This record gives sequence, C-alpha cells and structure tokens, in this order.
Amino acid sequence: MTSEIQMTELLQQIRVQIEDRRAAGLYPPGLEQQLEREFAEIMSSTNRRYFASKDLQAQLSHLEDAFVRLSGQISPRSRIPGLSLVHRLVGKLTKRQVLGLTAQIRDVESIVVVVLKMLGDFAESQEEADSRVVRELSQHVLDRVAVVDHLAILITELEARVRNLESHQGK
Amino acid sequence: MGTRCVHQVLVGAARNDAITAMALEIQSELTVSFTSNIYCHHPVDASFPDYVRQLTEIDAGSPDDVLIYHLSFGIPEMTELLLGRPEKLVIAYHNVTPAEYYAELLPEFADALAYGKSEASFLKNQVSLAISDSEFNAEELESFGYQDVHVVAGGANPQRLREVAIDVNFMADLEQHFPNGFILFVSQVLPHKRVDHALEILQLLRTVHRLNIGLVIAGPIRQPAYEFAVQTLRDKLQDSHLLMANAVTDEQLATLYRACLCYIGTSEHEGLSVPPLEAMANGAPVVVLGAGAVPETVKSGGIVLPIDTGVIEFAEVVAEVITNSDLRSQLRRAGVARLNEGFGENSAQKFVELVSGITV
Repeated sequence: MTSEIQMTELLQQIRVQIEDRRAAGLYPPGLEQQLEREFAEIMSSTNRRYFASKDLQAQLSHLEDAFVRLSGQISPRSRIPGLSLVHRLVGKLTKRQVLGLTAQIRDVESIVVVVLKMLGDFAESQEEADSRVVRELSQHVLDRVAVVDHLAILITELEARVRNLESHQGK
Repeated sequence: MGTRCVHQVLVGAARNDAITAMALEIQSELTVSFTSNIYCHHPVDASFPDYVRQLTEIDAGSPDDVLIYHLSFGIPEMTELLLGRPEKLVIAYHNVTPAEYYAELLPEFADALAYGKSEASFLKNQVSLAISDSEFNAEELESFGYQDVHVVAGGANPQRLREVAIDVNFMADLEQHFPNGFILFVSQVLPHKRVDHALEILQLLRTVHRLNIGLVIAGPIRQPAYEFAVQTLRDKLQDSHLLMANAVTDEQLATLYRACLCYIGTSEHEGLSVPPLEAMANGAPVVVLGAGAVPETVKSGGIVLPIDTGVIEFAEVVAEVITNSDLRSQLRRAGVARLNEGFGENSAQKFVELVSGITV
C-alpha cells in the first residue's frame, strides 16, 4: 500500500527533480500559467469559431437544397374557384420566360454556392495559417525565454563566484 | 415483482453515462420487490430496454409509491413535475457540475447547471429520503439544509468488467498505434474534466521526459464545441500522440484498463468518480487529481495529487510511475487492497434496502 509517508517522500523527491529541471531550463518560468492562458484563449474563441463554422455549413447545405428544388414549376392550383384556369393560362403564356429565367438563376446560384464554399475554405485556411504563425512565434519567444533563463542562472553563478573571490581577496 | 411502484427518474439516459449505469444496476434490485421503471426527461435511446421510458408516459402514481430522482442537472419543468407528484420522493444526489466551466462555451447549459444547485433546495420539503453517492456530495446536500443524508454509491460496481474479455483486434490496433505504450483517461469529454491538462501532461512526458508514449481518452464526446477546443490545442501542440476513442464497448474498455501504463485523472470536479476504481480492478496504476469526492473514492488505492497540482508536477509523477516498476507494482497492489476494503458489498442492494424502509 502507498502509505502517507511514502507519498510525501515521493512528492518531495518529485519537487526536487522539478527544481533541477527548472535550473536546466527544461521548464521555463511561468510555463503552466502560459499553457493555462493559451487554452483559456482557445476556449474564449471556440464559441465564435465553432458555432460560426457550424452555421456556415448548415446555411450552405440549405442553399444547396434550395438550388436542387429550383425548377420553375409553380402549381396552378387555387382555392378560389375558376382561378386555377387563369393560373394555368398565365403559366403557359409565361412558361418560356420563366424557364429561361430559372436556368439563368440556376447558373448564378451554382456559382454563388461555389464562391461561398471557396470563401469558407479560404477563411479556414487563413485562420490555420495565422495560428501556425502565432505558434511559430510563440515557440521562438519560448526559446528566447529559455536562453534568457539560462543566462540568468549563469549570471547568478558568476555573481556568487565574484563574491567568493572578493571575500577571499578581502581576507 | 410487487404491486407497489418504485420508479426512478433521470434527466437523460445515455450509454457510457455513469448515472444511467447506476440506475440500471439499482433497477435490477428494485424489480425483485417492486413494480419499477426508469423515466427520463430527454428522449430515450431506442436501444435501451423497454423499462427505460419517456417521463411523459409516467402513471398518475399514489402516496404509497416512491419516486427516486437522480439529481445531477437542473430543469425547471422537472422540479415542477416532482413537486406536483403524490409519491414519496427519494433524492439520489450525484452533484451538479459548477456552472462556471460552461459559462463562456455554452451559456444556456451553464444556466441549467446553476439552476441544478437550487433545485435540491426547492425539493427539500418534499423529500422523504436523501441519499448521496459520496461524503463530498452528502456535505453539499447538508449545506442545502438536508438532514440524515445516507451515503451509498448505489449501483456503482467497479468490478463489473472482471469477467469481460479483452478485444483482441482493438489490442492489436493499440499496439500498432502506441508501440511503447499509452496512458489512459476514461472520461466524458467535458470542460470540467480538463482533457486539455491531460494533453499537456502527455506533451511534457514526450518532450521533457523523452517517453515515446501516447494518450487515450476513452469516453463519449458530449460537447462537440469543447472537443473542437481540445482539437485546436492538439493542433497547437503538434506532437500530441492522442487517441480520442469516444464511446467504447466494455471489451474495449477492459482492454484499455489492462493494457495502459498508467491511469490518469485530471478532472477538477467529481461527485464520485468510478473509472479510477475500475482501473484498479483491472490492474492499472492510478494517478489522479484529488478533486471533489476523488480522495475518499480512491483513498490509498492510487496516488491522489493535491487539487492545486500543476501539469508539470502531474507529469513528473506519471513519469515516475511509468519508469519505476517497483512503484507500479506497489500501486497495483494498493488498488486491489482499496477495492477489497470498500467495494465488496452490493451497493445497489444496500440502496434498495434504504428505499424499502420508506415504503412500509
């Protein structure tokens, strides 16, 4: 069984290891806080990004469905007696124009669907590119911070040595 | 089956949901002496047994009958319905996740959680028997003014996978995916479970400790928006050997527990937490964050880290467990000892005995 004493010893040993690794620059100062902050930023933008992307997909799907249903066929039926005949007559008279117009709308709509999809893909790839740049920049910053940390440790050591030397000289 | 009715009421029933699993275990004990169904507010999955029904189908009831309400969420219509029922009311309190974890991501869900905390208070005067599945939950119920709260993790059965065989094909996939092994977190993918921390721990294990291992998160993805956030973090960390297995079968779960290098738990809020116990029952060393009821559940069966432990220290402990075979064996033995100490009894039967006391 893991007794309380062994647990305390284990955690103490682990904390010493962490200090050693910090001194070796493996854990830059503020690493945990930085990770926490980064995920908080992801969470705060998720609502907007996730739901916007979901909404865009849903609307594009509606648009495609509407596009498939676009036929130029309008029912001549009417609840008013005799009016069905008038609708059928008007339908026949304007059939050529309506079908022509429908074909033109379908042409335009098909382009609109493609353009909207391209815009969606473009926005997504742009966002990925932006986050890649941010990631690379963050990595550079972290590398620099690690170097600065290492230098700070070296300076502390040098200061200690200088103090030692000075105290020896004083004696 | 008796003539007196003792029904259970859930907000929702879902596969791989701990409360549903507990209710189903309780159900098998209830039907020995009572007429009993499980009713749910949310639509019921057609694959459930026919005694799991929609709440709208519930009979009129009588004062001799009993309703057991599993409280874990808040819905005003549910409160209203329960307050208007003639049956004796038993509250089975599983705790309600703090709303702040969802405030930004899913504000409406957060509101429902905030309401859940109030619901326990609204129902208090109607309740004939209060049962919670942990001391932690009992204390919270008492803070709402409840008295004589009984603590029984009714229906929790950590040994349930004991007779389940491993899934050989899944095992082969895991070996191919993670030739040097993996750590495991069994959890629903939800914000308060802090899957992001598990991912960061993996990153530290791979980069600082040079352990070429992976992480498996096994549990249903309940909030796709949170999964989206986790995937964004995964992309950002680049080097994350992560398998989000989503909902798994019992055979796959048994395989994961038995094959993992270490079971980890990063959740920041737990009313009971059965997966670490299941991990112990299947021989996995356990390292978990001591959130909510976790310290009293895991006790000395695993390493329970202080709640304020950061990912660096967490990763260091996991690295020690993975690389120190003596510690691993010690933890395995501790896990078995923990289960022998407190989970030998039939918790569902004990729960039903308590409920039977108010049917007389």
